[in-house]
Amino acid sequence: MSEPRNLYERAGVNDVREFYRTKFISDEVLDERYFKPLDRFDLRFARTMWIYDNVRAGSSVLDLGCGSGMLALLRRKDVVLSGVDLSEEGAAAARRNGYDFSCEAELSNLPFPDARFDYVVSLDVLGHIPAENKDAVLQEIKRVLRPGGVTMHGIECTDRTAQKAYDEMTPEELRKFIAIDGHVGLEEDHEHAARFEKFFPFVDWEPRYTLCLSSEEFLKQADQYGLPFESDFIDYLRDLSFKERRAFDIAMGYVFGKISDLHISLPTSGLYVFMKASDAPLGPFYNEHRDRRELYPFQPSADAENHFCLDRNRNAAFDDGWFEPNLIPPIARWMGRKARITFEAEQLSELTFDLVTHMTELATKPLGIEIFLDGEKVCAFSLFVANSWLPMKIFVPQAAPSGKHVVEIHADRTWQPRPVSNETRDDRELSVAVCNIEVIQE
Amino acid sequence: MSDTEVESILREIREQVYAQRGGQDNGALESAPNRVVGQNGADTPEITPQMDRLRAQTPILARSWDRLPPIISSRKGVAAKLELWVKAKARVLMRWFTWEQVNFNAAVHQSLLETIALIEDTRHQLQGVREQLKEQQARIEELVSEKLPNLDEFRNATEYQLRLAEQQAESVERSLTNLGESLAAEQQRTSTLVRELREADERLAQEQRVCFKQLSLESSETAVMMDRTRRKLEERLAELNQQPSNNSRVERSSKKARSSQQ
Repeated sequence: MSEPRNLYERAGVNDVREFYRTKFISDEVLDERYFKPLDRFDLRFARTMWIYDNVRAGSSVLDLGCGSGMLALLRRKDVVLSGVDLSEEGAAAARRNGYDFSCEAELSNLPFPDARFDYVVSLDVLGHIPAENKDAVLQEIKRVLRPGGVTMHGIECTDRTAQKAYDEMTPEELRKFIAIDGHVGLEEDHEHAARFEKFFPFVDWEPRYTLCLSSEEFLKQADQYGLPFESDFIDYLRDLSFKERRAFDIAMGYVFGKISDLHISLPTSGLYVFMKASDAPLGPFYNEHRDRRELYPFQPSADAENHFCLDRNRNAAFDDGWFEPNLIPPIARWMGRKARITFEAEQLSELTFDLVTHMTELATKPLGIEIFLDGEKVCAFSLFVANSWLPMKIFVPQAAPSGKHVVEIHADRTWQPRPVSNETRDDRELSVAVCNIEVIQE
Repeated sequence: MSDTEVESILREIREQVYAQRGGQDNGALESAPNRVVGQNGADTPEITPQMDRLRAQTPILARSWDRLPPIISSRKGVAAKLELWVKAKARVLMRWFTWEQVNFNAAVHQSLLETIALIEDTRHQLQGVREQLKEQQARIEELVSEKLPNLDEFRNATEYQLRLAEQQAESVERSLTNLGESLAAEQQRTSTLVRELREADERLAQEQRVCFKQLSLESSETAVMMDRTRRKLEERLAELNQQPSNNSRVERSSKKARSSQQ
């Protein structure tokens, strides 16, 4: 058995596929049709946006280690998006989220012909590949990349002055370190750059996440990797609610984006590096093909059907009262106390949707729901039953005139699904989930 | 008075005294050699004094049933002699007058003797019965003493069996109660399960409905997208077909082809 396997085994990871499947594959909804424009500022999507802004519309992209499909947003640019993952479950999750093609494969043995893709990209993958295998992976990337194609990677790094090398760690330290994220191939950013330079004449890289980390990442780096952040700051982050964490992450993401937009070079942090390489001269490191028009709602075409669904409709804007979509199933959006949808419709006559809550004790304390259309209450009722989908059909008394409409749903209270557990913490303040929102026009 | 008469009177007096003592001294015993001895060597306490008195009377009866009282005088001298002579003559003369009395005395005497014999027989029989009873009692006691441990064991065993039976009954009762409770709980659980399954089934049906609705909407969206794409392609194709340069190029190439063939 090769050395890298030994490193996993030394850390007590006997089934690498299972390890990554349970750690990184989820049923989260990353389908571009559900992407909320405001999420372009969310630090969670910062790496995605870097790729998004550097990929040419209509090109072909291969996502190495696609997992659940973090780059599904690229479909907005009519990209032909392929993915490979170590596990079949990851490949399936990516397909579910809109990847055109995905399969299970070793990164050092890709099942594609030579010169197949305009871009080969990866996020948070090369830090999981043992150093001895990295050259083989880069060789494979070069093989499937078209002449002039660009390969872009977000890579976890290490800082040898602050962090022990694998050989210096005790078995227990190694086990704990690898158990966090499975990082068996961390190298310093310049070492990564040197590897790329062996295969590509043009290499550019920028250290990132020096300043901006998500609230969750701050806590992880402090608690699990032992980075020395100020303790009162970490305690403050620890006590933030879901909405506050989201606000923090969006603020951080905004700064992250501005650093890219202004092309500010950050000092090496030993945490993360963006790497860009090609056999042809590289364009700008950031925003080489920036076109974000597809991220925003657009006017419906004149030949719109007399009924359409808002869930995946780019004509509809879901405000931040809605949480990110979840596969309940089906895919639905949870909301808090108040949520709003704005859309364009002609002669709106009817609105239908399905609604569910998982709130407990509804029999003794029903959940009050009110629905407003363009500021006027059109429906009010109480929910007495949980976990059962309720079909709603709202007739508009007089067909609303053409133009912009706002549907607003109010709930009289919320609940937190799993506020306590550290592992499965879900402290969102939820009321109901809604899906299949269909607008019928006269 | 003659000596025989005096002796007779003295004996009579002595016997009366013995009789009054209740036969407690040896003389009395000797005078009643045939009396019945009671259990453990003692006379039967209830009847012994009466029997002794009865036996004391029988010698008097045996001696005096046919005799007249003795002739005596309290006078002295000639008067006494005269008186005794008169009385002696009178006694002889009056014998005919006391004859019937003698008969009666004889009958009474005989009857007493037979009564005493009968009582003695009865006492003998009673003694025999008592001895038999005593033997039977002894045998019973012996039997009881022999069987008592067995009886204790039997009683203990019986009591144990009884207790066991009671315990078993209690156990059975408890088991039945538990079974009943378990059955009730099981029925409750089953009904809960049925209810939950029904609810789950309803939820699943609802979920299926919503999922199918979503798939249906997605299919519609895809169909709309495809239709739009098709129309765009057709429009583009139409544009290409309408471009004059292309048309003239095609015409030229076809003319060339025709001329070369000719």
